[in-house]
Amino acid sequence: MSFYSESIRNKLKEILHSGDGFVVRGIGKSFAVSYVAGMVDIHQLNMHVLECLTDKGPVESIENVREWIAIGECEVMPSLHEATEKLLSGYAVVSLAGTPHILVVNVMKIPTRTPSVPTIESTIYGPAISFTESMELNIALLRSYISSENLIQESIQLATETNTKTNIFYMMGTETNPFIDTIRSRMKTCRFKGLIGSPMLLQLLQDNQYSLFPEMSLSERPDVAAQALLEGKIVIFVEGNAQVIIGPNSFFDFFYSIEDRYSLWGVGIFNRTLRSMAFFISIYLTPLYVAALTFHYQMIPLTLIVPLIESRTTIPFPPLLETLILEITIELLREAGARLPTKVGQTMSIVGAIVVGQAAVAAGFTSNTLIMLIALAALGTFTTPNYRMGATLRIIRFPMLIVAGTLGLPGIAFLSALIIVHLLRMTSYGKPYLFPIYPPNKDGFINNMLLTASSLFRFRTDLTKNNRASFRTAARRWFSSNEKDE
Amino acid sequence: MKAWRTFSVALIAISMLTACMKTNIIEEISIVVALGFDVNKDQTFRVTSSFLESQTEPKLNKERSVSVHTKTSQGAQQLFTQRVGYELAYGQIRVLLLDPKLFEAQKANEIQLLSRDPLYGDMIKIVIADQGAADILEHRYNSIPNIGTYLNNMLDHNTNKSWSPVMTMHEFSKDKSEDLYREKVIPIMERQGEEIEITGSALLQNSQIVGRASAQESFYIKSLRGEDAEFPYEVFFTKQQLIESGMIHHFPRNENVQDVSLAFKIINSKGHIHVTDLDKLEFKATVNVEIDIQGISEYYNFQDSRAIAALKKQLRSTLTTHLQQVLDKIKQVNSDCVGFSERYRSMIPHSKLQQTNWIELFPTSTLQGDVNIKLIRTGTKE
Amino acid sequence: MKINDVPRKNLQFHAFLLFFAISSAQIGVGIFSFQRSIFQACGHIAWIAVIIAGLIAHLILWSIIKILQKYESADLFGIHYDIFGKYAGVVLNILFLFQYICTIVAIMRNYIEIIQVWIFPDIPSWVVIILLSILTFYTSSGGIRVILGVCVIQFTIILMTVLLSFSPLEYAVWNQLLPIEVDNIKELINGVMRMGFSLAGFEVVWFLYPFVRNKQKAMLHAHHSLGFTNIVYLFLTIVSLVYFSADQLQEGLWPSIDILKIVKYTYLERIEFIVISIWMVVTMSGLALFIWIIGRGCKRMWNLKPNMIAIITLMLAFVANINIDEHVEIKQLNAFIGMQVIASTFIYPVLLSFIVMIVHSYRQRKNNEGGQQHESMEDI
Repeated sequence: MSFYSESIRNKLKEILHSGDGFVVRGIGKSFAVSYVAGMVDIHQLNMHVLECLTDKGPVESIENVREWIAIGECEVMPSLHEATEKLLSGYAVVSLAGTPHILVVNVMKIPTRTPSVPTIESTIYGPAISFTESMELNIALLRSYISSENLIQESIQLATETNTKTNIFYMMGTETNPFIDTIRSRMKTCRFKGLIGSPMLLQLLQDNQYSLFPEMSLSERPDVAAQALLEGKIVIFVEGNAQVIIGPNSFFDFFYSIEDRYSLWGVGIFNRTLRSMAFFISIYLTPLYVAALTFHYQMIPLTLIVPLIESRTTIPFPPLLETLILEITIELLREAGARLPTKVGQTMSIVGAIVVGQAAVAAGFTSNTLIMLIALAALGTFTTPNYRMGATLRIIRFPMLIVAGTLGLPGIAFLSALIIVHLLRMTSYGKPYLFPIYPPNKDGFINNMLLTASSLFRFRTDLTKNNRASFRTAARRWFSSNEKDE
Repeated sequence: MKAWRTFSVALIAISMLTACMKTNIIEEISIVVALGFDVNKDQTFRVTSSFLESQTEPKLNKERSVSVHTKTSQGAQQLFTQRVGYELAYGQIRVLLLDPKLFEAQKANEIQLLSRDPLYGDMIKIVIADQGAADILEHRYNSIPNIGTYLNNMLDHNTNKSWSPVMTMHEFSKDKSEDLYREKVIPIMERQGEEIEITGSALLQNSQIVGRASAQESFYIKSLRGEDAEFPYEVFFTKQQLIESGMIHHFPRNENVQDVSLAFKIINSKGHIHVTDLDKLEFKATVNVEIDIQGISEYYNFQDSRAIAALKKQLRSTLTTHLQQVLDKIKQVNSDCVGFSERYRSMIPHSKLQQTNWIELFPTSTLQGDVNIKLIRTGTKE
Repeated sequence: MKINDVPRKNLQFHAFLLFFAISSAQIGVGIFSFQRSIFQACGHIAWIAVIIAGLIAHLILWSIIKILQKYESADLFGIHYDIFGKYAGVVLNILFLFQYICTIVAIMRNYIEIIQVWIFPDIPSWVVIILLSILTFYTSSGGIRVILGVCVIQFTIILMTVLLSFSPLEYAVWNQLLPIEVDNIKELINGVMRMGFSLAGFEVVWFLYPFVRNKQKAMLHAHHSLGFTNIVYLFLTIVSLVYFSADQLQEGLWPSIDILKIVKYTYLERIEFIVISIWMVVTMSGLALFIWIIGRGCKRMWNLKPNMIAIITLMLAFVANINIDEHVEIKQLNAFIGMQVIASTFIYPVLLSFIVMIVHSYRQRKNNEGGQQHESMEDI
């Protein structure tokens, strides 16, 4: 152990407040190579760094050393202090006695997994590959779909303690992408202690922070990300996250699946229609049951009322309570299923719900009819392609149930109107959230929502085109338009 | 500001929940399905209701009937609540059974008053119970588990396409004034032991039953009223008729036919009323029928177009006679249930309408019937 | 106060949206009961009255937009200020605002009555008022674009309700439309007047016009919208005439709801419950639009905050509604507003267009005499 390497070790110890975890290896009298154990590729280090440093005579400058090393990413830093950050992210640090300059060599080997089949957003057709936790791998995957010079990458380091690296991707079109400035400035200005997952960043980028409805979506599929880029949206990669952020989205974007475009257009429309029906079923079916059975018995046809009375005869609770009990049971099972170690949990919870449901019926807690309706409503929320939107829909159902049980149909109408007005007031980066419906747009409606055959070749939706500058201010104005009319 | 706003909204919402309204939880009400009105000798009502009720004992019948005596139809509601386990709910009434005596006692407008209540639907079916409503509703049937729903289904399928005329609450409450509207036709129902049967229909004149129509007559009335009607028909042709129409030549297997019976089904019918002479009150009622021949007692040569023409001619004359009989009957009992008055009103100026007394005018009118036949098919064989 | 007021660009909207705004201001709770009053006035030729009233409304709308086109980007408040001067203009504006407050009270009261009669006989009025007020405030505070959004939603609701109203035609007696003869002009005029009350609402174009981005198309879309309303009203009138007898129309308070009573599916009956409930959106959009107009007027004249004005107006409406609970009082209120509306919507624009014409030609002459060659504004 040379004297020089010992001094480097002491210096590092001082900087990192601890002498453990890193390795300092002296080569000859004037070289010292240090790295964090476990974060480097030992083979590369031996072959390309240690090998070429041994048996070298005295060297004048660190620049010479740089030429010997046959590794692409290799950089000279002004001082050891500045190189520590690199050291901690897996670089090997080569220091030369007699100069403060430090050479950092990328021999990083962060534990990662190989890209696997997408598990959350699985489709029948389309590529069966998903993003991993490694940003480099993810970028490589994305680039393999779009190898165009118009695909712009912008790297932003978030101002956090975790030094999280992010990359923004967008397509450079004929017009400048209107959202990029807003997103960039929001990412740079938002200050918070630490950021681990991309879902956390996503929440900070929303226009309407108090809203329950998501404005940006997460995806683990590179093809979804590529499709979004072609539609003029922005994709954000966060280091260490297998899910990329896609935005801005309109309300209806959350109900589209990439598979709609992979299927025949007729099938695609059918699936979308089915999903929008599921949306209404999941929100309105059980509240309507509660409202009809609590207040509006006139609405039930005679053929239906007899079995309904029969099924409810032995139940000691009013319809509202009965439904709430069952809904909460389903939610508990879903939550339990999500906490289970395997993906089997998901299926198990649904099966469990049915078993519990059967027992509840046998015990006289709920009626058979309601079990059926609740199962249908639960299915409805799970058909929403976006899990975040599905979760929102599930939450909305509870206030809906309560107003249905207290105010009946007018209550349901009231809450629906409130939600509609809320959605109308919402913006997604300054653009109306309910886009093709309001403001009504023929093109957006036909090509985007109805997905006709020709729309396969039209990628830009009107949501993302022709935007005027300054979206943050536009969003603010949107809220207080009355106050600042003049 | 934003948090304050959200909070205030939540506060108001919670305070609102405290103002709970009266609930109609389905198993805590007795749902009236059928309501019967009889008139007692002292001119009071006897109201019978058949309702669905939630019963914890599965063995008990889910359906009960209760009858009360009251002065007005509305008053019955109060009396009912004193006699049943749950609160009575009138929003699901499907059938109203009326005693013929109700019309004699001039109490029909009591029924019309019911439509003031928004709970009552407009499509409540009204039917006359020949032996009294209580007779039908209170009888314990062995094979019918729920008389209310049974009556509803029965009327449903009988009035939907078949011959029985439809009388709904909406139709029933239409004509109170002296204005020119068609009179009502109400199906008549009676209980025969364990069975209930729709026997015909009653013809009304100003809320008075003035005549009765059989099934076949009801069919003509119904189709002239512009409603869809089907009817399984059976006619007999005498030899004389066969000779007159020329049908006699088309029985290749039996040269010496006597009486022939023909069964066919009218699968579609459409009636029209034309005014031939407004001043002399001459009307022509046309019914276009499409028929499907189902059986003929002798082998008839359907391949020959002349044979079919002869058959159509004979059928037309027979059916026209039947129609004419119906029209004569209507005129005789002076119940303009087909709607000649409406046709008349639509042709005369408003000022003249004021002096019109249709009840006096109608018997002086001339009604002529005509049936046009389209032979759609002859079953699966020619 | 400036005469012309150009809103910021992101608040402006395409003229196409006028189509939704005008019909939604016209159609409200009145659509449930309008047939009855016309029928009481002129009998079975009510549909002729509806057509005539519709044509007159088109004419009035034309004259309103013609006046507006004389200005660069003015609303009624600005025009009053321009024509009648500072004080008289403000008085006229206040009259208009007062009329809108009365309208808001009437709309709320009528909707509450419908809910109380048809759905919940025991619901306290204040619950419905608060529900409506929350929705109205939330919408109107979102500004004109959110209000227009609700108008678009309302349009779909109206369209579906109209489609539902086809079902009574199964029981139609078409002879009831005949004979087509007008024997009493006075009755017909009375019917047209009553229909005018139902058609009122298109005058919101007075206030929306400055916000229209492509003003040259405003005329077209406004007329389309009015045409749509006229067709809806005509259709409902005809359906009611053939479905109900004279007695039923004379007595039934809400023929349009009675029409829906017979709509029936195998899984659902009595659609009127759903329609009445959903009508909350329709009611609310009209209320929000009127509140927005009141707020805008106050802002233009005294620079007050629209949200404050909205809260005050809603409180006023609350107090007024709590004190009206008898059916007779509601009828009196409706009659009172009916007269007001006829005057302000149908008679006043004609009057104003004459005054504007005279004032402008006078000014032009004065300008010409003064040798100032100003840009002419009188090119109609």
